[in-house]
Amino acid sequence: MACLFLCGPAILFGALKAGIAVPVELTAEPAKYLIGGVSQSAILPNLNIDGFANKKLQAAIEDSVGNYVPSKANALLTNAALQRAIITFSDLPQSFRCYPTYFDSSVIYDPTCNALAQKPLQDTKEVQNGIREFAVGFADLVQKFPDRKFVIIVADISNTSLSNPALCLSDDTYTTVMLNAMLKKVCAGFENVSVIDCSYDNPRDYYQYFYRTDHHWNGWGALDAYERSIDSLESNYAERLRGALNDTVSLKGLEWLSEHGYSCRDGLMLINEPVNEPEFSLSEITLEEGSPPLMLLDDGVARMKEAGPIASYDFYQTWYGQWQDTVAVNDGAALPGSSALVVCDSFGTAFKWIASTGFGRVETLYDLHGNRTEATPLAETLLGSDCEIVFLVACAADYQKVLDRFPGYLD
Amino acid sequence: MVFSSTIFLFAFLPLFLAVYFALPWRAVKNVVLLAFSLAFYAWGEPVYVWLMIGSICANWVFALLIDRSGRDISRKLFLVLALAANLAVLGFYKYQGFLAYNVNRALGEEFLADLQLALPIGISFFTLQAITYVVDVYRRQVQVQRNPLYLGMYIAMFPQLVAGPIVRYSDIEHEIDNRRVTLEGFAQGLRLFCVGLGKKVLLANTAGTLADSLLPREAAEIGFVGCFSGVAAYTFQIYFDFSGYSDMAIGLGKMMGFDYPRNFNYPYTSRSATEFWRRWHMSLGGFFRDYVYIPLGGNRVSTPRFVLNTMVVWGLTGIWHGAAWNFVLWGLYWGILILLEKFFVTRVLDRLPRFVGHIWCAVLFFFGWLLFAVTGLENVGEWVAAMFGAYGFTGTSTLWELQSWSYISLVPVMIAGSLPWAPWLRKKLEAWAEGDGHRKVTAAPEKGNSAVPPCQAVLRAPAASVARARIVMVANVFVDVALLVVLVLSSMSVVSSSYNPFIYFQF
Repeated sequence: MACLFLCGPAILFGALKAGIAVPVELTAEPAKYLIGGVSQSAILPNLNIDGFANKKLQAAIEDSVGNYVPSKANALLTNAALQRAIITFSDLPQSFRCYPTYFDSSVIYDPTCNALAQKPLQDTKEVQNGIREFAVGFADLVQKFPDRKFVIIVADISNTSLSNPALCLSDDTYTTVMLNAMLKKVCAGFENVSVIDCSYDNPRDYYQYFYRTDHHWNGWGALDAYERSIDSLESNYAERLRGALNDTVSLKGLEWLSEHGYSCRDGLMLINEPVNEPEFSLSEITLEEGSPPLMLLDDGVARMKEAGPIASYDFYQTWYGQWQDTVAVNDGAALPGSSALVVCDSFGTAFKWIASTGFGRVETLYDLHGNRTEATPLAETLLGSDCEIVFLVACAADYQKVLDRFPGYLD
Repeated sequence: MVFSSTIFLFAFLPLFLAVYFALPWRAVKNVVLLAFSLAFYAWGEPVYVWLMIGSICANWVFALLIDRSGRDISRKLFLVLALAANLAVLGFYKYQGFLAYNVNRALGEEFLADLQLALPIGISFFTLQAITYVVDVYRRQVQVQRNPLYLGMYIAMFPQLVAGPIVRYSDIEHEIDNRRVTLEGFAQGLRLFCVGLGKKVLLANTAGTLADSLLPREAAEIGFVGCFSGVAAYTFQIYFDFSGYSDMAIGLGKMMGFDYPRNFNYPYTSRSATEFWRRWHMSLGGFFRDYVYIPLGGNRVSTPRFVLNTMVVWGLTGIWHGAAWNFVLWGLYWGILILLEKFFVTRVLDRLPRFVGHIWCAVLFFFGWLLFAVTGLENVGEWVAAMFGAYGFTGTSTLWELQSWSYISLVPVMIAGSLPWAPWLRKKLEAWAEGDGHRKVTAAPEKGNSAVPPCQAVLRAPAASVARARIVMVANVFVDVALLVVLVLSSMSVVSSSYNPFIYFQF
């Protein structure tokens, strides 16, 4: 029996290669939705002496064997569940409000809210220096462009949010509120800058605007940030943008879909979260490049159904679009000639569609995203752009790290 | 490649067993075992595999020369050359950086270049095995092996290649040509492999996540709780990691028909440092006893010489574990303790209740692992201070942040895993089934007991009744089911875990 068990991947490999119909639950296919579940394996390109000497061939073969482990997703989830059971049992004497989803996991589970969050960000010197450098660089930049309006939004991601249940259990943490306070202090006196405070200090408010199973805000969170941005602008400007927005918001029936979200994939703990997203009537919107996200399509809901499990595991990106594209959005219904620039990380993915209700053209740059490998200095971009408003939208960690990745970005 | 990896469990092992058992001839089986062993080593060390092949060839030639030399002086000369060659290779790859660092530091200039050599995996083990072979040929305790492929099979044999046990040539000399593979032996080996895999993956890796998160930190940051739980986690990690790997190695050997020596015998149940080292890494202790301590004169010398011999052996034991002062200090720590016990402590302990001895030994190995695990000698003092409350209960962290609390429910499991309740139960069951329920059984005798006990009850006398025989059978089936569950859980963990450290790679 044990020998047969050890031959499982070989049997599965043989069955799949022989064309035998194996139920998908018995394959490693569902594991590709979990972080680390399925790896890209490149055996053939490394099938040579060099590949063997530098161990790339070995790594590729190991990945390949891992990709044929039967019922791999169940193995991953069950193993994490067993570890969670041990942690829960260990927690009985203390009854902490939250605990890791498995040993050494960066994701924590809050049973009272049935939500997943990231561990709080530590207030280290590295974080402080990164944030300070960004804030000072930003203050220098806005002075060079007195005719442009800058709106900076710190997305209240769970690891810096006051609503994080682990915050009160940890020392020396860095919060969204601290970053907002620093930005306000550094930018005090500059009339062309608005620092938007959209942080939430309790889970009840927080989970109206943020997913329980993903680190992003939902459409309502992006909308809330945008509305607060509007409120910070001069009255005539704000009136125009609010007027454009009011006509458009309604609810769409995506209730059939339950989301698992990135935190579930990363924390190996599946929680069903009913989708609750606003709908924006954005029929006039066109993209200058790239393909439109599902939320813009008339048959978007139907296509979500067709997208299969990924629609559930990665709802935010499937619905609002990929962050990788630098897109320019044109809204024929909005004021012609007006334009905005959104400089952001993945939080801008939902935000840009809402911002596009008020502008003829919205250009989006994902320079603040941690995976971005190159970026043009922002001042250079602004010199070549006729935008009236620049929205900066990102979480604290991405503001902190942007000058590490692109040292001259704010010069 | 390590045993607790998907590539070994789901590809290498099934393929090896299929090929090995498909071929009926023992000579071919030996060559297959050599080929797979070299492939196993080359998988992780594609370049250094040539070093191992070189070591095999050199030791084969030296042993032949020793064997063919009629004169004692030439035999001794070839032995010295063989030892020098083996130790030079080990010293060069393992201690060059350490030597360069310390010489340069002492002289205040760069006198020796640090070549930044990567340590070939398992070099400390296969070098000692090769030494046992040539020394035993010199002592005429074993026959010289004329077939280089067979000698290669012995030195490179993959089950004990990277982490022991240190198998002497004399242990398997007879089995190279005469081993018998039986279904029962194969099943016993597989059971032992499951036990070892469970220890390594389910217990050692789990304890390792806590140890690795705490040990690199400053004592002031984590306070009493962090330091104490960090060392406690390491104490369990190193035992389950190493003994688990040894169990897997011995199990694999049994599956092929080899009987490797036992390497661990419940060391955490010891009542003294001396007893601890009779139970911990027994094959290493045996090597230093027979190939260093006794040739130095052992204990049949004057007291000062005895003290010197003991400290030399323990200094070598320490430095064998790693090229750092921590390890030297750790070895000398045990040497001093063993001398103290020899001259004073044992006499006191013998008059006290048994539990005092257990506490004494637990404190010794706990602080021993502290020396072993904490990076940098300068940090050791800080950690000891933290354990006496110098930095408060949790240092500058909170209890939640340290995460030690989340492992609390595993502590009874870890303790149970370190105690010999399973062999005790098995022996009791055997005695009861044989109609001798009052027979006194010793779960893990301090001396002897070189063979690894089977995982199942085996009756050596007729059962007292059919019912009792059936109960033994049911118990054995229950054990097999439990071990299958352990295998499944371990495999799930291996599949899940990118965290799969192996402490003894550094040795």
